[in-house]
Amino acid sequence: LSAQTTVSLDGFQSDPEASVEMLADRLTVSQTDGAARFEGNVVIAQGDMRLSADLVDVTYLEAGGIGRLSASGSVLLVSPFDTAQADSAVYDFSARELRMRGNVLLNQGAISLSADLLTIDLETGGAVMEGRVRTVLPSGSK
Amino acid sequence: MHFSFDDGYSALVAWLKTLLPIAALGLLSTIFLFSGKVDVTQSLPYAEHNVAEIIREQRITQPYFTGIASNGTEIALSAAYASPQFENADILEITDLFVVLRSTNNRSVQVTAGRGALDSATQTAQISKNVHIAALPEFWVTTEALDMNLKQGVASAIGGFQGVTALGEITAGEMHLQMTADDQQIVFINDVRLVYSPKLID
Repeated sequence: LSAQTTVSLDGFQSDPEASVEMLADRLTVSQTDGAARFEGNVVIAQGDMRLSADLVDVTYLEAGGIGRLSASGSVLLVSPFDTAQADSAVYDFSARELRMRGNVLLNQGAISLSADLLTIDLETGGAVMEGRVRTVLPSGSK
Repeated sequence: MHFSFDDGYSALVAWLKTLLPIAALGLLSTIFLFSGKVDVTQSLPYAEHNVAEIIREQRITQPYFTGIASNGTEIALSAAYASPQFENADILEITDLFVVLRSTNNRSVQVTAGRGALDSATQTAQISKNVHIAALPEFWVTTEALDMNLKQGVASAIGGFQGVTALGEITAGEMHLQMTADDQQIVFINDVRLVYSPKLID
C-alpha cells in the first residue's frame, strides 16, 4: 500500500459548536505555565465522538477558550462507525483537525488499517493515514 | 471744621466723604436683617439611624488582615465590614471580602466573596456567596462555598464542588487551591466533569 492512504470516516465529523464534555479523575490548572491537565480515565466527548486517554493537556487560545487538546496514554477514539487507537493524539479546535500518532490502528467495520500517523479533518470526515500503512486482516478469517 | 468752598466739586467730594461711609455703615448693620433664615438644627449632616446601628453592632468598617502562611504565602484579607459573632467572639462575620494570596515567587491569586466567617482561633475562614477565584488570566473559578486555611495558605472545597470556570461549568468531588513556592495550582479531584462550549468563546 502507498505510504499515504486516504480513508473517509463519516463518523468523525464533529460539529464545532457542539459543547465538549471532559471527564477525568483529576484536573490540575497551574498558574506558572497556565497549563490545564486532565489525568486518569480522561474522556473527551463531543457530539457522538469520544476520545479517551490517560492524560489530556489543554492549551488555551490567546483570545481565551481552548486551542488544542493533547492526549497521551492508550488513546482511543470512538465514533458510531469507526474506532482508532494510538499512542497520542492532538485535537486542534481552530484547525478542526485530529491527528493521532504512534501505532495507529484504525478499525472500520471488518477492516483494520495500521499506520504511524492518522490525520482526520473533522470538517469533512476525511482522514489520511501515513507511514507504513498496512491493512491488518482480522486474524482467523478465511 | 468750616465747610465753605469756592467750587462745587470740592463741596461734592466733601459731602460724599461723609455720606458714603454712613451709607456703608447702614448697609452693614442691616444686612443681617434681610439674610435668609438658616435653621442650623436641620442642616447638620448626620443620620439618626446610622449612629444607633454602629453603637449596637460594634462593627468594624474596612477591616484589613495580613499574615504569612506556613508555606510562605502572603495573605492579605480586606472586607467592607467585620463584626464579631454574638455567640463566639473568636469568629468575625465579614462581608464583601477580598483576599490576595501572594506566593514567594510573587504570583498572586485573588479571591472575592460576598460573605465569610473568619475564625481567628483556628486561622480559617468559611467564605460564601458568589466566591470568585482569579488565578490567572485564562482561568477563573466561581463557586458558592470555599474553606480557607490562612495558616497554611490554602483554600479548598471538599464536600462536593460545583462552579463555573473560564473553560465552562465544572463539577468535582473536591477542589483545592494550593500555593507552593514555585507554582499556584487549582486542583479538582474525584469525578471531574467539565463542559466546555466553544461557541461561547469565539
